Amino acid sequence: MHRATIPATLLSLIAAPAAVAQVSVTGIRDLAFGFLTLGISSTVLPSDPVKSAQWRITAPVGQRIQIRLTVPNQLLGPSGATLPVSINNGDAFVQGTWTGSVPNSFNPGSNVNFNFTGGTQAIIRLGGQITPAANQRPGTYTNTAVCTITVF
Amino acid sequence: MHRWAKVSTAVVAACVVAASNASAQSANINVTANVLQAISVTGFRALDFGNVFPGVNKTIAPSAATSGRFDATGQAAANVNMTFTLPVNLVSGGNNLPIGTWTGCWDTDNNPAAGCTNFTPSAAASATTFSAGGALFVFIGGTVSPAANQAAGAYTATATLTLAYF
Repeated sequence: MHRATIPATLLSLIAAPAAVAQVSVTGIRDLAFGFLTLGISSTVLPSDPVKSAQWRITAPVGQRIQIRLTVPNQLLGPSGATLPVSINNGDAFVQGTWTGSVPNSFNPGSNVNFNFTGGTQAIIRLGGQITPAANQRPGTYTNTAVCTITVF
Repeated sequence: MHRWAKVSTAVVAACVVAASNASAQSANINVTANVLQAISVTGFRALDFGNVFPGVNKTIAPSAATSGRFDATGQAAANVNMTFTLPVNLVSGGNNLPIGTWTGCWDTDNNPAAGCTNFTPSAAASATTFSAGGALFVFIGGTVSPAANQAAGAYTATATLTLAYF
């Protein structure tokens, strides 16, 4: 009898990660500063409906997650040229898509926790500021930002 | 007892692996910017009315050989706004010669006789586009209206074109 109860406990341990697997994060939209004029700063607010970056997180109601953004401090351009980009405190927020959820602004350089209290989807938005030098090499500059979510 | 210990260890190890794989996920987005070629604009040719006579208006068309001409370079195929600061008088000492009815056209080559797009130069923005090679030519004309008692002399003023990407 004693040994018969042990497999049931083990099965419950195995089942737990199946619920975790329902959590996902997807990149929806790039952070696009668009056309820049030499020597003139350009700012994209996280609330910008077109230019801000956007990720979508899906998780079960009640799930708690930790969000970590890895953002670049420069963009890479033609012939090895670089373009500094500033992504600082207040340049990111996370918000549930359900009614009553409000934007939770956070520092992209720090982790933030989020609870799926009223729905199964949340959106992260990211902005920043960029200032091409007066002698910046013309061309297209790119880099990558990563959103990592951890379930706990 | 020994057999139970082996089974337990194996199952717990499997759980740790599964949880590790599922608990952290990541997704990338790109951060992008396009730095445009610097705009350069120069006054290539003065708008020259030549000799005018008291009481007789004189008009120079943008396509005329003596129209004003600005040459510009910038980002290929990029949109730019043109804005002008235009005088209302040409000046000779303390005398004014009214100028107005400004006309203009822009082209992607330096020949305004063909393919030049008309617009009205003013402080309000007029949209245009650099050529595929990043060139733009802007021609302006206007009308001077000498009074019947206009004092003789050489009258001048300055017209300024400003270009800005949009």
